Amino acid sequence: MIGAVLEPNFDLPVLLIDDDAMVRDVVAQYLESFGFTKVHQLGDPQKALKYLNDPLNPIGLIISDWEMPGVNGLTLLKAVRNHPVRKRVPFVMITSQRSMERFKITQAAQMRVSSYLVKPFRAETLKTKIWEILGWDAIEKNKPA
Amino acid sequence: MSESAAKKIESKFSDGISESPQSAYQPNLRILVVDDEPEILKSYSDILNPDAQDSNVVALRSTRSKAATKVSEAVPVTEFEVIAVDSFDKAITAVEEGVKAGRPFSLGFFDVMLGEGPDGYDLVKQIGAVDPKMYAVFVTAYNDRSIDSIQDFLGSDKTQKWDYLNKPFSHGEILQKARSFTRLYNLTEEKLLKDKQLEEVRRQLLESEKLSSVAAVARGVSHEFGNLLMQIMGKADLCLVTDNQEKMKEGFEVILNATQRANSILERFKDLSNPHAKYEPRQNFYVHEVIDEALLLMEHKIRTSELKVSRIRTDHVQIEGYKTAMLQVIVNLTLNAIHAMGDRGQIDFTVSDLGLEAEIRVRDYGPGIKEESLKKVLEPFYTTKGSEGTGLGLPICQEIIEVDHRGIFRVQNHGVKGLEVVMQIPKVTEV
Repeated sequence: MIGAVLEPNFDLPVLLIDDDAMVRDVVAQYLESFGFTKVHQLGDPQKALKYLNDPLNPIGLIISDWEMPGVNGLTLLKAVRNHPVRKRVPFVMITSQRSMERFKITQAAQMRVSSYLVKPFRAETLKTKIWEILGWDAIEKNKPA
Repeated sequence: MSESAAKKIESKFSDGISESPQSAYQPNLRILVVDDEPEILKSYSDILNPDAQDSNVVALRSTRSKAATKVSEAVPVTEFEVIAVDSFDKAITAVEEGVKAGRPFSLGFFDVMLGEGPDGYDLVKQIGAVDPKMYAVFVTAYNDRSIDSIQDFLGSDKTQKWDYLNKPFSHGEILQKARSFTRLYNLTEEKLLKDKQLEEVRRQLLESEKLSSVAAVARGVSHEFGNLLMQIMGKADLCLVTDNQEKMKEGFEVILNATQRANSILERFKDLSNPHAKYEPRQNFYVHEVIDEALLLMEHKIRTSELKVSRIRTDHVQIEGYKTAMLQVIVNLTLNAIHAMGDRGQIDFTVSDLGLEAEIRVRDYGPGIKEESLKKVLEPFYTTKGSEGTGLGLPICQEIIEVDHRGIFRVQNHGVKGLEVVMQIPKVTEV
């Protein structure tokens, strides 16, 4: 891993956006099981857009679904990358449309997505990705076997 | 899908492509001449295949006829291929071999009196059983049989297949009969071929509609499936690590509900068999070529209806993708346009170079579509054609343009009149 390895900070405010309440609930519980204490959930991507455009809202990590009505994940990603305060906030994209996968990955990569996950994924996968992009010390992994 | 199944689909498609709808019609100019007199046979060859001969004067004299005609016509001659035989048996053999080799005769000139045994009428009747498409001209010096009795003998369904000439014949008579019958033969055959090719494209379209519909439907529900699997995997994962009985129970309930929901989605797939398989390699090609091919395929349909096709603008723009799929899109849009106008009206094709993209516009002069219905035309299973339509045509065109060619597909009413489909596809950029 490049750069200094940081101790996990579970007070990092996470914004979780998914219009599917059940999936959002699963991801929220994943995050909770990792130890995150401040997860802000939004089911309406329009509200999410407003929320992240307001510089007063604390956001340290964004996890968003791609396929949502009206405003999709890519629109949110673009808004973040073009936002003066938010542009460096890590953004994890979740998608389920395999047929468009390569196309979408390219598009997302162009907007500097931090990580890209295809549903379904296990808790460990999400955890590894988050730890990686935040540069956190992967304690379990470093333990001697 | 198993690998062998995938191969099967692939080979099925490549088979379909090998009998390519684009193959041009090769006119058949093979003529059989049957006469037991060598001199007469030579006269036919002189008339129909004059290159090596003195074609200017052809005095055709039957030994049975006292009359002779002298003709001097300098008419350019189509290049007929003349096969001359002097007996009944040789004639039958020639026809059989021609059919077997895929090189049938379009026309035959038949002497009626062929020495002993069966005559020219018998011969033509027998040939009709071998090759019913072949035309026949009887040539005789005797009026031994009336036209009616020949018709009775050959059957009234054959009336348009034969004609009659008296010996001595003139150069012009033979040449004109040869020309008009081979032309008739070739027009009929060409139309049959075109119809067959159009049918083949329609079949391919239908086939790809069936396949693409799976892709379209699958794309629609894959999101749903992804979410359901996420619930199942996520809850199972969480149940695995929790000690909380309540949470575990709740988790299992979510899993059960999700599997039931997934099952009910699967029910919808029952009659949709195979996933879309790509059946041709991606390649670079010019957009206008595809329109040319599509119009060539529908030439007969267009010619026989009161349709005007107008190429408003034809920029030469290259795109990358699946040429056959694009051909299907254009054919489908054109058929839609024809359908919308009830076989009469005008279709405009425009190909423009927009710099980064190629833009194709297909516009008809029909009634257009009401604004509120316009939103629905791209929804799968929406149709205005009743039982004739699958309601998949436009969604599949959209699928082909947007997914296979990374383009934009838009259906709109034209500002003045009619419906317009606008497609924008990224250009191949020259290096």
